[in-house]
Amino acid sequence: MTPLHKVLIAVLIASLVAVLMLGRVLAQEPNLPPEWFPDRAPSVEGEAISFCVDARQPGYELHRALAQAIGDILLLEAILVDVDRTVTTEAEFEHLYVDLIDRCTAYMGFKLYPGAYPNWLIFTRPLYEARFVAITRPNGAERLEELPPGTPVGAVQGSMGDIRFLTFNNAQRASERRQRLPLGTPTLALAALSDGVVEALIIWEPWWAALEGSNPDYAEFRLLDAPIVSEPWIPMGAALAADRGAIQFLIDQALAELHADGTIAELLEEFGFPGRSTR
Amino acid sequence: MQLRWLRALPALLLFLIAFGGLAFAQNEVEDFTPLTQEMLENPDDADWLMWRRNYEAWGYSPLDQINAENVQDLELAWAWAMVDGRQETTPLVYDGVMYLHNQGDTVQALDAASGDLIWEYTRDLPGELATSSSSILRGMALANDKLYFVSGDMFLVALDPTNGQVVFETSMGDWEASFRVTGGPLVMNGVVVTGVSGCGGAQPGGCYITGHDAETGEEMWRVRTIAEEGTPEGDTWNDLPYESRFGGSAWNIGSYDPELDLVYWSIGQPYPWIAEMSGLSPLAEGNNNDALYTDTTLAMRPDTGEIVWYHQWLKNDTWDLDYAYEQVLVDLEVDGETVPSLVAVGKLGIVEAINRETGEWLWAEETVYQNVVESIDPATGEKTINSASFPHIGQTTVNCPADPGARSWAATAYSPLTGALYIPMQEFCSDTTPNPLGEGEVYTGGGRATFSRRPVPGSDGNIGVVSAVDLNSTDEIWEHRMRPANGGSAALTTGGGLVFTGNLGRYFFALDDTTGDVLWETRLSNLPNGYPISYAVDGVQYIAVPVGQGSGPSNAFAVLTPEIVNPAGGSALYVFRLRD
Repeated sequence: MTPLHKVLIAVLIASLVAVLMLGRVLAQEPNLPPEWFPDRAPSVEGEAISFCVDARQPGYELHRALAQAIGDILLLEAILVDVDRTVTTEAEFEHLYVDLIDRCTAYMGFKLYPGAYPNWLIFTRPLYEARFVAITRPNGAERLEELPPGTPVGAVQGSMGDIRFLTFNNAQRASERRQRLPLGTPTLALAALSDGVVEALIIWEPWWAALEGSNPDYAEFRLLDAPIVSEPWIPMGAALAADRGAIQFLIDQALAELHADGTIAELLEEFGFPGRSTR
Repeated sequence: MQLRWLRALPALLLFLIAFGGLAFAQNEVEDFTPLTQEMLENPDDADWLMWRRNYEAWGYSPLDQINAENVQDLELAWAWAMVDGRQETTPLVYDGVMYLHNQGDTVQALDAASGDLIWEYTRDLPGELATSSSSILRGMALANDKLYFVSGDMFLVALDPTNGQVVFETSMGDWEASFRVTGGPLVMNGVVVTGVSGCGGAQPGGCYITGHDAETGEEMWRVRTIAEEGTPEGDTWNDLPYESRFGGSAWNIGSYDPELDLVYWSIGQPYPWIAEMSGLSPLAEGNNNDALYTDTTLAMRPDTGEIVWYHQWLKNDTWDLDYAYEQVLVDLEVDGETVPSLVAVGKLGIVEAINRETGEWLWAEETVYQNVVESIDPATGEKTINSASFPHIGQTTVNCPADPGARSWAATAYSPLTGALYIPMQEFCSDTTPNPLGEGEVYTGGGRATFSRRPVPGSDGNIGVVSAVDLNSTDEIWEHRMRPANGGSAALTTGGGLVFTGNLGRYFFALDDTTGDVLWETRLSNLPNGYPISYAVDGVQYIAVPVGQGSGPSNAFAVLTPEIVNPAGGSALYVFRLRD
């Protein structure tokens, strides 16, 4: 057992005690009926740690492998809990709250945007980084800025890539702006590019990688050079309930080691995931 | 011989208990008289047949046995634990039978005098729906020989009100695309009109309102809540193509004028709320960004869905301050003339009246503090917006009220005795900071901002307000202030001169309709949430109020009064009557 492991086990024991003693006093937590908590099972049991993995995200398989690797390095059994929702609703944060209290310790795959989440959530250090990209049908342009004013450019509405693009676009003189078209989902956005509704599309690169093979027409799409939407890359972490700081510390330690020893870089390559380690 | 008979007794008792219970639980409503259109237009004083009791959406019961002189003698007649989970329900009562919708699409028929169960129907929903907010409903409808509701999986369901058996069910849309019905149906002249919400699933083109044949369930018409491209109304989206137009949920139930044969339905805001994200702002040269038919009342023909006129209350709503609530139909004295009017109160807490025959704007009256509308043109109703309240990416701005609204889905009530509208509300503001959301764009709902809610400037500490506005003089005649927010408790007016409503402190109370004085109050097991009603059986008047947790706004209001802690669960129905 390495010194790191001894420290980690001590912290784990202390965190379990803390969780038991502190209960679930979380600031401004959603007030939800107990029926929303059907399982009522502790999410950290003995020598196990549980992770929610969401098949609605493009990194689902990678997230499963990362969770397993975190469990392995902590000498804990990684329990992988598949999020069983197929539909996204306006109560999504309430469902997330239930998941983190009732079903899993950590929920994999959150873009780490400061100040964008409720204060009953905390986040791990990055699992990896990924980026938004601009893609287009073949039209001669190599760079996003080369698209003429008025060109319809789509983006998944409200995403960081969208906000970066609209901030850039709105800063131009009105006559110099491209026409920004907000689109509903990555699937709808790719269809809009394929149908010619937009000439270019700002999209989360992991979504592009996940959906590229879903339609033969998408094979002709190619990347535009677009640092205004791609830089800086976005760190992705895991979310925990705010009273689980000790477990957050444990996972952070594990991630530091997984980045340092190249495990995460290897997993990104193994899954062909368009991300990078933060080593 | 006698011993052998005694040995068989336990088995006989078990048989009687088992089958007696089954028969009791699945009894039938006897002597059910089908409800004619005439009965729906002129309901018996004892009944509550639709969401707000009458087509005019008054929320008023003419019963006067319970009045200002004796209301303090109210006592519990019976109570009923509802299905685990949330509720925002309206019980219906017809001829001594109460019909109650519960979470998970359980519908029950109860003896309205005793609280005994007559029959129960539970829909077999996909797993994630049974406990979700998609399977709660604010109102059902009775007409002819059917009881109508819309299920969490988006079926218009007609039940036989005598036994709970399904007569027909018709799909209204794709629940997996997030569509749902939060309000419920309204039935007139053989047409079931229903508003669909749940546009947060990022489906282009918004939501819709449907008309179905009340006998067969066949869809007769469908009106999109986002105007089509190429029409004058459709060219109000800042040149965004249809693929980029989102929102327009029809959250609640409309009203109906039988004389004009117009059904009125109000539509919610564009999505996402932040206009710089929806693409409605900045305004492109030569374009219009009003975003019809969001924040708009549609007047439609019930048999075809033809839009006869529309009135938009708030253009380019970037705050989630919509007007998608009950449309109160009253005849008002305006400049010495009687005008058939439609009165609406949006989340801003501004009471506004329009001519319900033409859509012409009449007047507005502010109630609680708001900083979004700077002024209203007294001739046209055109609103001038306070630009400082307009959210911008990269900034924090202040808007009052906050996004859950000075009023939300808890309905107002009108009394023909006083000519006043009674409005349950709350005062609060929001520091609004637009934010990117979406780990892989999973969250596609309306928000995309951080809303830090706080009391209004100079608050006296009271968050909740009940305001009474005389609809003829347009003056506010009284205001009842209270520490807890109203939350989700609608108002009920009665012929006894009373206004019943509740607050987040679990109080349910009766106010004098002319003075606002508190005449009676009681504290219940959870917050009054949903729509209180009054009805009568065998000459005895009852007041019924559902309690329990509802949707998001209740939680949003609770942040402002952290000392008030309510049970997380425990939905129930309480029924009161006068002590013998």
